[in-house]
Amino acid sequence: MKPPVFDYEQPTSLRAALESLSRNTGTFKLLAGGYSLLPLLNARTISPECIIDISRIGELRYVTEEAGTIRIGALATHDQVMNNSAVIRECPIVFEAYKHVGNHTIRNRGTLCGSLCFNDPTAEMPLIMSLLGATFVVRSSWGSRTLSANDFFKGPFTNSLMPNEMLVEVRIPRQPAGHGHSFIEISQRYGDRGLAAAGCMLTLKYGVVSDVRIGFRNLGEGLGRVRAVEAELENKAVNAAAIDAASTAARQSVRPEADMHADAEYRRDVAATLTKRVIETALMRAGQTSHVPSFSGRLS
Amino acid sequence: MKERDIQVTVNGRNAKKRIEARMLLSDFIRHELGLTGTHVGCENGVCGACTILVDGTAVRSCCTLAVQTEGCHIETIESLGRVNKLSPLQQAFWEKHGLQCGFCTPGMLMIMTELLRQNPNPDRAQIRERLNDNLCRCTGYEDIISSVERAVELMRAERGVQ
Repeated sequence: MKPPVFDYEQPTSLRAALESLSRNTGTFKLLAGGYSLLPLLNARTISPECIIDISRIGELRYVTEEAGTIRIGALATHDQVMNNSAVIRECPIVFEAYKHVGNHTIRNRGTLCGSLCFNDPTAEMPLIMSLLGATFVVRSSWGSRTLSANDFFKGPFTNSLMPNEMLVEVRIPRQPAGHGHSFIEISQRYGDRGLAAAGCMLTLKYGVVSDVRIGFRNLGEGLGRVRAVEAELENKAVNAAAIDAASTAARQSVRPEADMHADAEYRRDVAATLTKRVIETALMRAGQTSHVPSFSGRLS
Repeated sequence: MKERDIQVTVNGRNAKKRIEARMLLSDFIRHELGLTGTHVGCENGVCGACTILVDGTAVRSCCTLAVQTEGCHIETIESLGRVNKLSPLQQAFWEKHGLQCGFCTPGMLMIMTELLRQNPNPDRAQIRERLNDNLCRCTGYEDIISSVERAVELMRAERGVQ
């Protein structure tokens, strides 16, 4: 099908875009890359009265690093973020997860911030930004506010933006030196929508893990980081029993729904297995870029 | 405004039209410019049949509004070769049976055109990874991969590289 008729605006500065948001009283949508919006328009799932095309606002197309903080502008494409040297160096989990985000053609035009706003439950980046402790800079013509991932993301396909607000930047703080990371997603075929995904970041010092961050995607509404799973490892000596306990906690914490691809019980099993794998992989990688002795050997 | 004037360069030629803002880039190319080589499959961003190059990067034209490409340089399948003078990539698809029904082929050729510009010597794994972008329901993909490998050979020979 074809998109319904709509008014079209193409502001070329952030200021003009924010004014446009304040002025519009009807239904409207922001258009950046378009790979989530256009399919919905084509299927007429949504029929906004106005499309505000922000893709020409060059001032928002950046990925920069300043004093350890990585700043990603609203129009930075997935490809730009994925291949940014500071991102690869400082938070390698982003690159690892990006291998599962859409495909090359999608990443050419799709934007990180667009994907975060859309908040598809199978999308990888909302989880990754939660794990990294990223903050979300939101602006309107009235002012700006900065939200944590927890405050920004709501249920599936929803976020906490007010109608006159726009996500203008995501900030990733400096990550612990020598942290270990792992992201694993399973799907029916590589590149398909993810059935379930898990991510883990942790720091390992003298056999004790700290700053443990573990979260899931598509395993239940509103799940980002899951404290109950993290608590099984935080400030504890790593051993097989601790990892098993985290894995059990994951099975109990997730609330997956059944669909045509997999039932809920299978997905709970997957959550338990992925938890084990992401922890083991993160442990093996921990300390590899610093002087902290690295953990090697399998714990199960 | 529901309508807009746009000016783009398509396969080296200037095109200027007044169009509805809601017009998809795929429809603009096919219906307004008469370039029907670009195929429309799912109109959902899944199949990749409509892939074209905008300013050198692969884009799904069914999930892009034509008005978004104002001032851009667009390349479609028609820019590659002619029936009596196929481009190396087209020649390779011909030789290695990289197509059966041919519906996905324009998209396949365009994503591989982008790949070969970025990386003139991709290995089989890199070709497979890029092939992940597009669907083919006939070939089982193996012949497409072999076709791209053959295209690499043909292009190396053309450049005089052994």
